Formats: sequence, structure tokens, C-alpha cells
Amino acid sequence: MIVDLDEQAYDPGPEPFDVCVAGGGVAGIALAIALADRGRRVIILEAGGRAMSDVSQDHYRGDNVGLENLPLHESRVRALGGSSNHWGGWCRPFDGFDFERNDIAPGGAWPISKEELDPHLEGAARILGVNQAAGADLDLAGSNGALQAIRMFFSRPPAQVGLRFLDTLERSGNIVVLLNAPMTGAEFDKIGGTVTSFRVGSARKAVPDKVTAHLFVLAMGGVENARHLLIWNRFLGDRLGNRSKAIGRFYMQHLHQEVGQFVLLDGGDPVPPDSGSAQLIFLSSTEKLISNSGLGAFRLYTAALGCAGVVDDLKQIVTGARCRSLGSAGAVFATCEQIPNAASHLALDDTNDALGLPRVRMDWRISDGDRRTMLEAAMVFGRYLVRSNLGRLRINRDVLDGAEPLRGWTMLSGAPGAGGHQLGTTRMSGTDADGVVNRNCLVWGSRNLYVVGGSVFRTSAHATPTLTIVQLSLRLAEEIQSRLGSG
Amino acid sequence: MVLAGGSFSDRTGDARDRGASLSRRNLIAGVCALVVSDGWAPGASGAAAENDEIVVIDGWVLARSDIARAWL
Repeated sequence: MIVDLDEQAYDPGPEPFDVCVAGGGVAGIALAIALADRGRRVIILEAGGRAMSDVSQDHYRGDNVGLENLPLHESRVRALGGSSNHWGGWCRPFDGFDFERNDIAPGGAWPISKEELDPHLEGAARILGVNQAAGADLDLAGSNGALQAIRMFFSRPPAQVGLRFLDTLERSGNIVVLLNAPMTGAEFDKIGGTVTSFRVGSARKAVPDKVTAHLFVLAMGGVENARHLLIWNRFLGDRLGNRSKAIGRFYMQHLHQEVGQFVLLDGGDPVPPDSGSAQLIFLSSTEKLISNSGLGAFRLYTAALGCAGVVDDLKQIVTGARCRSLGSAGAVFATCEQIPNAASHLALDDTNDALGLPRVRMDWRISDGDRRTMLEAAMVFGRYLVRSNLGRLRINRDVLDGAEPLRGWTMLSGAPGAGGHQLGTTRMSGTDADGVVNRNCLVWGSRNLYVVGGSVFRTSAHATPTLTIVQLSLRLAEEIQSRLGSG
Repeated sequence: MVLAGGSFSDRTGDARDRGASLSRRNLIAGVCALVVSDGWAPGASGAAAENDEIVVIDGWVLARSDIARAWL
């Protein structure tokens, strides 16, 4: 059932729901459907309506005091389906070693392994409507084990999860979706470890103004999850998952940059013909190159240059695709994992939104390790061209010098698959000494509050995060089912 | 074709004369202009040797033999 509180009232009744989920985006919808399939009663509080609106997006405004970035109110969508409404549809699961990066993750690697998410890959792909694949994981002989051609998966057209499951949500007898129902706060028991209700703000016809449940989940994205936990901890003395002061910290995005331009020798082709479709081929760093290197993982893709002077026009050429017909010169782009960095963080601002909630101040920072990663990505490609006698690369000056601010970081350069991924702000950890949620996504210090989404990422890999986010949601559904089943 | 982003504009004369008079920066740009314009292939065998040293000059990632070739 879907109820828009701007249009009609809703009475949740006296019985608590099994689970109350704040956030009707990819993570929340995947979780709710998985729980409903197991017979659980779930209510989703979605702050926005069925579609984006300026009024709703305004709640996401925030200050940016760090590196140049996309505005907070434009980089995510406050509506049913969340940011899947402007998703590009690119998918790639994490590699096993992405979970084992003791060399880059302060406090150590993830407390879970790839094997624990693998059982949920097929289900996640089904939810996201992944219906296309390109490429094949294939080592490049000329790269000395440093590069591989990788398989990418696609949801085509990109699944807008709210629309994709609109009928399911409307017909479900176990799911209630409240639209225009922003979660504005929580009520806790006297100790502060148990959430007793989520408050629903500004809903004109909501009756009552709060929702009770046995378990509660924050699934509002990498910014909002941290924002609400920071607000609550003002009153809870950091007991709610913030013993390590990690809430809002380790804010990561994927780093994106044109790293250089290359020329090809006669007959040269940087992509092996047997690696898959001529389009949408990526080269990525290998485990051999990256493990214990202190560098982030990365993937590369090229765009052809047709003639002199086309560099300025490059961004208007199809990016992410390699155009065979455009000749013998090209540009190469890198999308890099950002190394987790506590100084890169979100904090609460002094100003409030229309609901009276403190806005977010973003201070996104990159480190020397990130600059080294980007340079290494370029160098590896350059060495590959030389060793395989395919051509020669000229690395862009910005990348060579590591200048700051670097022009073109994030998706400001208009390329797909990077930027807009807001990760790491409620990181998963093995103990409460260096993270916000435990291996089951339960907030440290809480008995019934979970967080799911990219905010729990401990490292970001180079992969686009959506598939992993849904895998985490489906794994959380199993955890919750097990917990509720045991009473 | 002029290499996009390259700084070498004097593309007349032969490589030997150019290499003797150009700065290192322009030499490398010249190497790459040759790669583009003449189908020039590096190394005696047409391929960089497996143990050929990689050097970076003015942003260009090159085999050492690229430079030696340009000075011939």
C-alpha cells in the first residue's frame, strides 16, 4: 500500500510494525520487499513524493567547505526510488580483495568478506533489472599482470526502483509506503539504546505523527544516515554508534579524471578483441597490482580523439564507449577508489532546513594517496601501451603534478560511473572502537537500529556501489528475519 | 595529424636535425609527433623490448629506446 500524506491521512494502528525503514530508495525498497516476502510487516517512510520537486530537494541543501563538488541537493534525489531516479545503470560487484584492504582502511579491513555477499548477488541483480553485460574478466598480456579487461553489468534502461516496484509496493499486503513522510526524529528508551518510534514530520494529515516498530532501519543514503545519527548523538552523548567519532567521517566518493591522451601505432588497439563488445570495455587494476600497495583500485576507459584540437570537445563525445571509427588518438579516463580518510567528513551546520533539522556541511578532502592512485592509474596504462607496443600515452599535467584543487575530479567532467557516490560515513567495523555499525549493520550501542546503504562501506573499491548496496540490503533482510524469528 | 595536446609545432626537417637542436621537452613532443604522423614504430624490432626501461618525460610515458631512436 502506498499512501501520500499530502493527499490523505494514514493511521498505522496500535500494533507496531515488524520493521520501520526510513528512506524509500534502492536500499530501503530492496530491504522491504525481501522482508515482506518473508511475511514481515514493513513500513517505509519516504520523505519525498512520487517524483522530484524543488520543495523537497531543498531539504538536502548544505554547505560545501571542501573540494569542489556537486551541490548536495543535486547529487541525490528525495523521492520514491531515491537516487535510482538519476542512476546510470552501471553495475559491478566488489572483488574479493576489496574487502581485505588492511593497507588503506584505517583500523583494518571490512569485518565481512565477499563470500558473505555473494549469495545475494543474483537477487540484487534481479531487483536492479540487470539485463545486459559487456566484457569479460581477462588479463592483459602486455600489462605484466597489472591490468585486466573487466565485465560490466548494466540495468538498461536504468531501473528507477520506485517505478519498477510501484505496483509491487501498492499491492503488497505487508508493505506500507508513506510518501511525503520525512523521518524527523526518533524516540528512545531511557537508556538510549532502543528506538521506540520514528517521528514523522510536517505531514499534514498524518495520524499519529510517529510510527512504532520492533526494529528500525536508516536507509536514506550516505549523507542523511550520518546526518540523523549526528543529530541524535547531540542528545545521547555519542553513545549511539559514535564512540569512535566515526559518524560523518571517512566520507568517500569515487575520483574521476581524464588522466592523459594517447596515440596508437598502426593497428594498435588498447582493448583486446576477445574481451567482449567493442563498446563499454573497461580496464581495471588487478589484485596483484593493488593488494598491499597502499593505493586505491581503479578502472580505466578510453574515448577516441578524431583529429587535432578535439580535446576540448572530448566531453561531448560519448564517454564510457570506445569509438572504433574515430582514428588513432584518444583520451583515457580513470575512476579511482578514494582511500578512506577521516579528515574527509560531513558535519552539522548551524542552519536548519524547513523541518527544523540542522543542515549538513560537507568537507570532502582527498589525500596524497589518492593523487598517487590517479598517477599510478595513468602510469600503468602508459606502461601497458609501451610494453605491448600499442602506442604512447601523455599524462595530463594536473595528474602529474597532483595539483589541488584538481580540475575534473568527480563527475563534474560529465563522465559516467563516478561522482555522486556518497560513501563511508557510518562505516562498518569489527568493534565499536573504529566504526558505527557492526558486521550485521546494527548500530553500535543500539539494540534495534540498523543502517544500510553506501554509508556502511569501509572501502569503496572502483566498482559502482549500487549492486553492493542491494546485496547488503538483502543480507540485512536475512539478519532481521532471523532475529525476529527468534523472538 | 597534429597530436592533440602536444607542443611540437615544427614538423619539417628530419628527426636527426630536430633532435640535435631541440630542448628535451620538444624532443619528446617530436617523438610523439613522429609516432602519429609517420607511423614510426619504436625499437629496432618495432616493439619495445621486454626489459626496456620506461621513462616519463614531459608527461610522455616512453621506452628508453624511443629516445635513442629519436636521436639517430
